[in-house]
Order: sequence, then C-alpha cells, then structure tokens
Amino acid sequence: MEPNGATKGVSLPTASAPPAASSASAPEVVPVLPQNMAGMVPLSAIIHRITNEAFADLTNLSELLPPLSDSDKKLHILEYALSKREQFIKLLVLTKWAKSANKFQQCQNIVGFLRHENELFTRAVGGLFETYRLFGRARVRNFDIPTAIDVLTTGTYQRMPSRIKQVYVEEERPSGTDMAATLEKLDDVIRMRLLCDELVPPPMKYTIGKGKAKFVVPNEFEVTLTVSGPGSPQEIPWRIVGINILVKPVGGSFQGLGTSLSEGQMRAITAFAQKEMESSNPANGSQFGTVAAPGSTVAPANQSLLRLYDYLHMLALQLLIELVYIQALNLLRSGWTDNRLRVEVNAARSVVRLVYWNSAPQSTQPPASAPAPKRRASASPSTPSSTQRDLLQGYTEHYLEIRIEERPGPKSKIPEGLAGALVDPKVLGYPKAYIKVVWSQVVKGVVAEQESDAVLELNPSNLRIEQLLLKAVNMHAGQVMQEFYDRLCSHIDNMKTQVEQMDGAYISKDDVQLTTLDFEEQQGATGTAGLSGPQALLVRLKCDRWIRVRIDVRTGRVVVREVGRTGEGIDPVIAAFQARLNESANNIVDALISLRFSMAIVELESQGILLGLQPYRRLALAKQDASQFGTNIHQLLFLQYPQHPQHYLVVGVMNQKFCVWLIEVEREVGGVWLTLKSIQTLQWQALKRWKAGIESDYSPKSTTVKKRKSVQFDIEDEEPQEAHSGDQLTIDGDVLSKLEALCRVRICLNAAKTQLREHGIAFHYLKPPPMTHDADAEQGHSSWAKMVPLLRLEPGSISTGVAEGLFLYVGAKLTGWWDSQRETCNFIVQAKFVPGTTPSGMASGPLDAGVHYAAKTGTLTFTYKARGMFVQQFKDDWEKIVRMLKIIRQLHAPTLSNPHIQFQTCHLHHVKLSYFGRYTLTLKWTPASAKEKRSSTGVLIPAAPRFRQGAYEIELSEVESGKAQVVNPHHRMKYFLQDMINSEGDLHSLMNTLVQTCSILEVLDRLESSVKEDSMGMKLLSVVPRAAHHVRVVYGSKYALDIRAYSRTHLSMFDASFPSESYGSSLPPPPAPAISPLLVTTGRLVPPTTKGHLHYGPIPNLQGVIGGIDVEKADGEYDELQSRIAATGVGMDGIIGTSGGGDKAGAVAVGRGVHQEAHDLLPLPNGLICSRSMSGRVLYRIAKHVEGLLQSS
Amino acid sequence: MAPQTTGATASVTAITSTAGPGMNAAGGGATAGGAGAAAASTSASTSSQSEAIDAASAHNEQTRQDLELKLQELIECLLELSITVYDFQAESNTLVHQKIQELISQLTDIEGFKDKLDMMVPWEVLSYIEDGKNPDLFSKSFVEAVAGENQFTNGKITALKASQLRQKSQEINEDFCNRM
Repeated sequence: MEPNGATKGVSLPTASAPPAASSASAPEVVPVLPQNMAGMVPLSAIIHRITNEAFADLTNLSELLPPLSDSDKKLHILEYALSKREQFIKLLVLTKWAKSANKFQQCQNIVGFLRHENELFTRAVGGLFETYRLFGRARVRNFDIPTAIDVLTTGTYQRMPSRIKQVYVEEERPSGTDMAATLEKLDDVIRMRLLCDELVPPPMKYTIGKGKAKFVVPNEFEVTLTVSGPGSPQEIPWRIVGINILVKPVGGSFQGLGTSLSEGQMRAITAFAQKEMESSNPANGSQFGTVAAPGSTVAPANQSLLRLYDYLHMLALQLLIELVYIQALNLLRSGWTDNRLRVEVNAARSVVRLVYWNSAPQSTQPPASAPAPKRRASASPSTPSSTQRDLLQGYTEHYLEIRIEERPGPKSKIPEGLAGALVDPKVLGYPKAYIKVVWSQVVKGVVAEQESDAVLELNPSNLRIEQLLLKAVNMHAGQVMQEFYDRLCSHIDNMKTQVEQMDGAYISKDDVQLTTLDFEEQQGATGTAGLSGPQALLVRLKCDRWIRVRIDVRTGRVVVREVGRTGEGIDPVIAAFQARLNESANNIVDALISLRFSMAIVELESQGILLGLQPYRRLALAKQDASQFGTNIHQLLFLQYPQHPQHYLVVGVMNQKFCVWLIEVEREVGGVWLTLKSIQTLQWQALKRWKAGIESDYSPKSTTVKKRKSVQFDIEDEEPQEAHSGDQLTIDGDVLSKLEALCRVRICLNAAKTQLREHGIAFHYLKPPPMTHDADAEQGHSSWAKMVPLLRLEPGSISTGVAEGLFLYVGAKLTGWWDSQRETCNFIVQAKFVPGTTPSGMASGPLDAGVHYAAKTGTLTFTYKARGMFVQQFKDDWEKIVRMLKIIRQLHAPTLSNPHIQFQTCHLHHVKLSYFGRYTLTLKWTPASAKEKRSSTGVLIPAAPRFRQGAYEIELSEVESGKAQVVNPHHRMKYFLQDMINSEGDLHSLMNTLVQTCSILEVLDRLESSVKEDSMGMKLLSVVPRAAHHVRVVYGSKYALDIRAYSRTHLSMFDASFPSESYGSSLPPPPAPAISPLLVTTGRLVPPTTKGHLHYGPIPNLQGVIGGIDVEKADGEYDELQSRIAATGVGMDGIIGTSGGGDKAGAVAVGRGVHQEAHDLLPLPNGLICSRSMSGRVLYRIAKHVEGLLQSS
Repeated sequence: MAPQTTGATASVTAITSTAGPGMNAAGGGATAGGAGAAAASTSASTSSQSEAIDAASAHNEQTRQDLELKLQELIECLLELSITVYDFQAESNTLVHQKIQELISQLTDIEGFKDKLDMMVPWEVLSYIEDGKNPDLFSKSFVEAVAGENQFTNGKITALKASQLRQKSQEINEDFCNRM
C-alpha cells in the first residue's frame, strides 16, 4: 500500500520529518512528494509542433505560390505571416507563463499527494467495516480429544475413517504362488468355456495363458480376452484386456504412411468392441447392415466372440482400405501425376478406385489412350468386326478397384444351441467380408478373372498399392501392344491379296515385330518383371528405319521413338503419329500407313530441295481450287520450279496412294490467293515402270524420248505388276527427278507452244513411230510419250513466202530432259531439205551457235535451250538461212551468168562473189535487231525499218592480191546497193549494176585522187552518189555532172544544171536493153526525185568538148593516165578496153572476150550517152575541161 | 484479510506522522496554502539533490528567457514580413526573400530550444491561451484549489487525532494478535 507513483523519481522535497520521529542514527531521509504528471504537456513538444507546422506551411506556400498571380501571392504570404504571428504570440504567452511552471508543478504534486491520502482514508474506513462484518460469524471447531487420547495412548489411529484407509493405505499383495494358481484356474475356466460353450470364428486362432485368451488374426488384429466377475464361469462376460491392430503398411516408400491409431482411438475401439460383444445383434450379419432390426430376438451369449470378430474384422478391412487410399493419394504426388491417375473413394469408404490412364480432365469424351484389346477367345484373323468396334467405342475408363466384398454365406441364422469346438466352421460361413481387387479389364471381359487374380492380389502383409497398380498397367500395356500387333497382322493378311492396289501402304510381316522392353523403358517395374506380354512394337518404316511403339505405363500414352535416334529429339512426323495414336489408337493401321507416307513426303521434300525445287506444304489456293486435288487428299507437298514460279509439282496421298500433279497457278490481281490455271495428273507409277524398263534394257532408242499428242493418261495402261515390297512405297529420288524432269519438259513444251503461237508459227502434233521395244517399256513409254509430243511446224508460217518447197518437213521436239538433271531441256528443230534442193558444195558442220547442217542427210538442226525467247532465236536463225537460200537459188538459176562475175563461196549464211577478178562482194542476211537503241541521253531511238525487219547486208572488198592501193570502187555505193537488193531481192540486177558502174566509178576514184585543190583547200571535184545507178560529179560547187547507167552497156552523162527530164522529149529512145526485161526495173531510169539544193551553173562549152572527142582516135593523155593507173598494178583489162597498142578501136574485149562492146558516143543537148568503154575517156575529158574553166576563173 | 487491514491502517498513521506537521504548518501558517508550504520546503532543503534541482531550474529559466526573446524576434519578423508584403513594391522582392530566410533561420533557432527546455505545462493553460484568457487566472484558481484540498485533509487528520483513534487501533491490534 505504498503511495502510487513513488518510483517516478525525485523531484522535490516536500516536508521534512519531525525531529521527534527521526532517530539520530538513521541517515536523514528527505520525504519526497511523488511527481504528478497528469494533464501535463512538455513545452518542448509544443515548440517543436509549432515550429514544424510553421515551416511545413512555409514549404507548402513555396510550392503553392509560383503559378499564382502577384496579388494572390501577396494575399497568401500575408495570410501566412498573420496566422503564424498569432500562433507565435500564443507561444510567447505560454513561454512567459512557463516562468511559474515550476511552482505549478509543486502544487500539482501536492494535490496529487493529498488526493492519495484521502483515498487511503476512505479505504481504511471501508476495510474496518468489512472486518467488522466478517468477524461476526467466525467460529473454530472443538478439539477431538478422544482421538487424541487414543493416539497418544495406543500409538495408533484406531478410529481412522475407512474411506481414508481405503484410499491411502496399501493392501498386502498376494504371493506369486497364489497368483499362479489363480491364473491356472482361470486358464482352465477359459479353456473349458472356449471348448464347450463358445462359438469361435475359424480365422481367430487363440492361445491361452496367464488367465487370458489371446486371439490372433494375421494382418488384421490380435485381441486378448479374459473373464472376470462374479457368477458362474459360463455366464461371466468376456472382458477385453487388450487390442492390437495389425494392419500396417510394410516396406517400400509407404513405410511412414501408416495409420497410427491414437490412444483415445484405441480406447474407443476397445469400448466399441466390448459393447459389440455384449450386444444382442446376431452374429455374421450383413457387413453393411450391422444395425439389428428392431424386435429381433436377443442373441445368445455364446456368439459374442463371433460378434467381436465381425466388428474387428470389418475394422481391419476398413483400415486397410484407408491405407490403400492414403497410398493411392501419395501416388498422385510421386510420379503418377499429369492427371493420368485419379483416386476415388466412395462415401462409405469401402471402395477405392484407382482410375489410371485417365484422359485430360477437361475433355469430356472417353479416353482413347489405348484400344481395348479384343477378347482372346474371340480373336479372329479377320478385320475388327463392327460389334467389336462398338465395344471399343463403348468402354470408358481403366481402373483398379479395391473393395470390401461380401462373400455369399449361409442365409439362415446361426442356430442358438450351436456351441463348442466341434461345430463345423463351414456352417458359420466365416469370414464373410474380404478385400477384392477388381480390374476394369476383367470387368470388360478382356481378361479372365482367374488370370488377373493370380497376379493382382492385394497382400495385406505387404501392402504396396503402387506395385499392384504397376502390375495392372504393365499387363494392360502388354495387352494393348499385343492388340496392335494382332491388328497389324490381320491387316497384313487381308492385304496379301491386294498388294498392288495397296501401293505404298503395303506392310509385310517382316516389318512388324514385338520385342521386350529396354531396361530404361521399364519404369519402376520392380516386382513386375516376368509379367506377360511383350511390351514394345517395332515397325519398319522404310529400309532400315524402324520405329518403336510402346506404352508409357504411368500415363498410358503411346510413345513412339525411332530406333537408333533416341538422343536427337523426336521427329515431328513421328511426334504427329504419336499424337494421332494417342488421340485414337483404334486406327493404328491407318496411322501407320499415314506415317509411312508422311516420312516419304518428308524425304521427297528434301529430295525436292536437292533437285533445286522449292517445297511448300501449303499454297494459298482458293477452296474450289484446292478441292480439285480430291476431297480425301492428305499430306500435300508443293514443289515450285524456281525457273517457272507459276508451276508446281504437287505430290499428295490419296486413298493410301501417291498422286502427282503438275499445276500452274496465277496470282489474283491485287489478292493473296492463287488460282489454279491448269492441273494435270501424272501417273508416276507408269513413269517408274518405264524407268525400270529403261534401266533394265538400256538402249539408245529408249533414251530418246519422243513426244506425243495426248496429255491425258489412260487408266487401262495400269496393269498389275509384280510387286516388290518396300519398293512400291516411295517415290525415290530417281523417280522424283524424272518426274521433275517430265514436268519441266511439260512446262517447256507449254512455253514453246505459247511462243510458237505468239510468233504465228503453225504446228501440229505428230504421232510417234511405233516402238519395237519390249512390252513393258512400250506401255510406259506410250503413256509417257503422250506427255511430250512431237511437233510439226509449217515452214511457210515461220517466214512467209520464202521456203516453199524447200523442205520435206520441219519438226520440233524437246530433248535432253531425261538425262540431264536440273538443266532446262533443249528445243530442237530439224528441217529436212527436199532431196535435190540442197545447195551443192555445202559441207556438214556447225553454221552458227545452235545451227548444224548435215550434208549427208540434208538436214538442218537448230538447237536451243528452252529458256527465254528461244522461239524468237530460232526464228531469227531460220530467217537468216532461208533468206540466204533464196539468194543461193538465184545463183543456181540457169539464166544467171555473167562473164565478169564468179562465185567464190556459197554458204547458208553468206554468198561471196568476185567481179572483174579484182573485187569481191559478200552478201549476208542480218536478222532484225531486237535490241532497243538509245541515244546518249537515254532517248529511245526508233529502229529504222530495215532493222526491224532484218535485211541483206553487203560487204565489199578486194580480191586479195597484195595491192593495197586499189580499193573497191563500190564502197561509196554500198548502201544504195544494199537497198537495191533488199527492195528487189534480185541478185541479177545487183550483179548487172556492179558490172555497169564499176568502170566509171574506178575512173571517178582516180579523178578524185588526182584532182587539185582550190585556194581554199577544198577539192575541186567531189563525187556524190545519188542512187545505185546514179552519181553526181560536182566541180568546185559550180558545175555538176550527173552520170547514170542508161542501159546495160551504156551510160548517160548530163549537165546537172538542167532538169534531168528535159532530155526525154527531144531524145531518141534509148537503145533496147540486151537483157531480159525482168532485170530492167523502173528504178534504174528514174532520175533522182530530189533536186540538189545547190544551183549549179551550166558547164560552158560542154557540147564543144563532147563534140571534140573523136571516138575513132585514141586519146593520148587519157591513155597515159590509164597506163599510170595500170602501173599501180591493177589489171585494167576487165574494165576499159585499152587500145593503147593500136588495137582495133571499135571492139574491145571485155572480160574474157565473150562480149564485144562498141565505142559509142551519142552527143545530146546538155550531155551525152556513151558506151561503158567510152565513159572513162569522156569523163576524163569533161573533167579536164571543167578543171581548166575553174582554174581560169 | 486481517493483516491487510492492519497494514493499511499502519501506513495511514505513518503518513500522517510524516506529512502531517508540514501540512499543518502550511495550513496554519501560510496564507498562500499549499503553494506557501511548498515554497517553505524548497527554502528549507539544503541537500545536494535540491542544489542540483535548483541549478537545473535556473538553467531552465535562462533558456526560457532566451526563448522568449527569440519568439519576440520571430513575431517581429513576421510582422515585418506582413508589412512588406502588404505594401509590396517591385523592388521589395528581395526584401521578402530576405525576410523569409530570416524567418526560416529563426524557426530553426526556436526548434533548437526544444531539446534544451525541460518544462511541463498543463493542458488547461493551453486552452486558456487558446481561448484568449489570461493564463494567470488559471494559476490563481489552481492555487486556491490546492489550498482547499490541503485544508480538507488537514481537517480529517485533526478529527482522527481528536477521536483518539490511535489508541484504539493499538488496542485492536493487540487484541487481535492475542486471539490468533
């Protein structure tokens, strides 16, 4: 009751003790008033609060102010200052007041103390009153004097109450012999009772000893009973001394998963068992209806052991089920995950069902992880019947059920009088309930019950549910694999008769094997070794590629691996196969065949890449286009030709057969979809047979593939052939390459046809000659030859009006595709000359890059790569040759003969002539130039008409004789001559023109070279060619003379200043030409249509000069010039008849003296007409005259 | 129950014996009541403890005076700030800044006082000041209350003495002990 708050610390001494009370020896104790802090606040806290608030407000203000206007800022600051000032004034007042705080504290302390004192006063009063109230009733017992005397006198407590004695004082123990004797007696009693009065359930084996009977049921329980209590030994009820439950898991990973019963539970069990023994229920009733029907008669006491057994047995079984359930739940967490295992238990907890190979929980459809193996007994070699298929569809799930099963026993109640050891146990029908393992396969009737029971037995002494489950799933997996095997075998048996139709789907018995599992594949199969059934299925895919199909026992999934390729990850195709099997394993045969096709397609894909094709698995084809491949087409592979991106080789699988198409697509305008332009079915088997035929009987004939008309392939060609297992399955690399080549040649053929049509070349298909090859090759060949037909071209349509009657036939074909791979094929045109029309003297040999002439057979061969505009190329080459042929034909014409002209070379590409023994002319055909010409600034220059059409070209040169000074005088006339031959196409007229103009042109050349220059450095004479027969000679740009070929033998010379027509009226008609009128064309005499823009003056005294020329007399000056020319080494004999040696002047032998030419000269107004031989002299004279005129002026 | 009761009475007597005379002296002698008694006791004490307390209170007083000065300065500063802002000219911008800086430094100074000052003030004074009343009025009323309380207790003690309670209680004690 010390004053409260005394420990709060010393603050002030309040009152000193009175001197009387304080002793001298004790140290002076200053009484201290307790500090009273109620309602007090530290001043520092207030200061802190106010300053902080002021500062915080200031900070807020600084953040608040910037966006405000000046007046607002002012207002805010003012508000702040005033409010804070007010606050601080209050603080100041408080601080000033705090001066007296000390005093106030003292007062406070005093008040606190006084209040406390008052409180104590009040309590003291209350306490006294309470004492008064209680003490009024206080009493104490009198002393027990008699007992005290007793104890003190006798030394013992005689009168101790018996209750105390009973509780606290220990009784004397019976001796060992007593106990032994008693127990022995008790044993006898029990033995007697068990033998005579009781019904002991047969499973309960008992031993008697130490007054107890111990009943043991192995793996279930042991119970110790005794009899005790008053009454006759037969009527004393049994009493339970101890119960031990023996149900526990043993070994394995479930060691710790026992159901340990707590002490309380054991007590409860004991109590229940006791109660059950004493109850009136009839023994051996239904296990699940233990409650006795109301009104039933009281059961006899001698059945109490039966009732005890019933209870404990059920308890043990229930515990076992619990253990199984716990283990099963644990399985879910230890490798049986993936939702593949489901554990169910019924509400009564008497059935645990382990649903294994459970499908995914979200899917509602029944799991199809593995097919139900068909019943062995009904296994037939035929295909699965419809009923069986229903059975396959109908079953739901796979499970293993562990349940408490009731055994059918005697229906009647156990008679009341029955007792003792001599009762037949069968009458009792024990034990009634037992644990039964139910397997779904047994329920479905797939496996015989005896067979499964032998393996699937739950051993209570070694309770391992995982082992049991593994046994079941292993057996199940074995059955599934066996079923797979059986199905494949039956499929093989069925297909034996129709191997050919099966095509690639053929599987032989050698391709399927059942083997045992590898060591790694036996997952956790401890204790499952030696179980029935091979567990993996080996299936050959192709050659030495095998796949291994097995079932993962934990998940029930089908696992497919390729043998020998374990480490590299699973092939996507095999993964798809695995997924398909897992989805529905019933159609393993289909899936397997499909897998083999998939593998083949994958191989084809890679082979396609090797062949330079671009593989696609999908094309953006419209639906109606895609349906053209057939509705049940699978595994389409599109191989695109890089050179022909519109074309695809399509391989697909339809009805378990490979189908091959060649398609052409085009892209929709502005769309992403491709539309099918054309589709052709290819019979690859026929090609394969054909190829085989070629390879087996290799002959040059079979390699030269002929083309035929029809594109369609007739089905009746497909005759059953001898099948080679495995060989039929695949389109191998060779076949694919041939297919590819075939398609390529088809594409090229189409391109060729298109180009031929574009160029307007008419063609038709040709039937190939009958082959005398063996029948097989014939079959294939004929069908395949239709794919690449021969073409016949109409020569007239290639180039019009040139080659009629020249050729026997012109054939075209595509070759080279069969042998050369990955190359484009060749487009070959062969033209055979009509016998007798071949140009004579032409040797065999290549004419051009792709043109070859065989003189022996008289054939021309044009060879081109079928790429780009090859028909155009052919047409050009053709034109070149045909044009030259036209010329060559003229050469061979009997009418054409000129003594001055010799043929030098006659070739299909050029013709070379020499004239006057000195000069040569080469004529060739230049095809049209397809190239665009552009100027240096990039402007497109339109090609001249002759370039657009192709034209003859003339090359002029000299006969090579070492005299370089002489130049072909026709050089300046070259283009006029070219135009002439191009417009007329007449070699004769060209040759005549050459002969006519040669001499005068030579003279002109000489004059030109000898003429002087004027003061300006310009030549006084210039020669202007105006047409093929027309040359204008201009003298110093003052005078001009027109020289024309007047007839074959005569020339005309006129003053160019006069209109050229003027001579016509007054002139006598020109002498009739000596040659055939055909060769005289109008163009020769037509004067130039354009007049010179220069106005030349008339040559003064021209008539005089002409008149001064004496035809009969030799002109010495001219002859001197001639001889000078002759000195240069050129034989002039062919041109001008030089009569220098005083020969007879009128007739000069020209050439070899075949013709005679007269020295004619016919003066006319403004000009003259003279013979060719005179022309040089006349021209010379006129030239001299004009030269003189010019010099004098 | 009985010993507790006796304990309680014993403590009552002890307290009355120690505190009684002082109280009496205060109650009888000094007109100022409790306050006067307390003052008397301070002056009477000579122990070192009281010296230390004196020194502490002297220091506190000094600090308080400093604080007063500082507060006055701050109030002055706030007033100046408000005046400056009230007739704000464009050129007085720096002045305002300067004042605010000054304000902050003074706030910092005042904040520094909180650790030096060991003083307690009652809540009631705060509410008096807040209400604008003179806090000395509170002091006055409180002192009067203390005096009243003192007289009340003194009266009780005097009454106890008068009824010879002390002797009676001794007798009860003796009697009870004998009985037990």
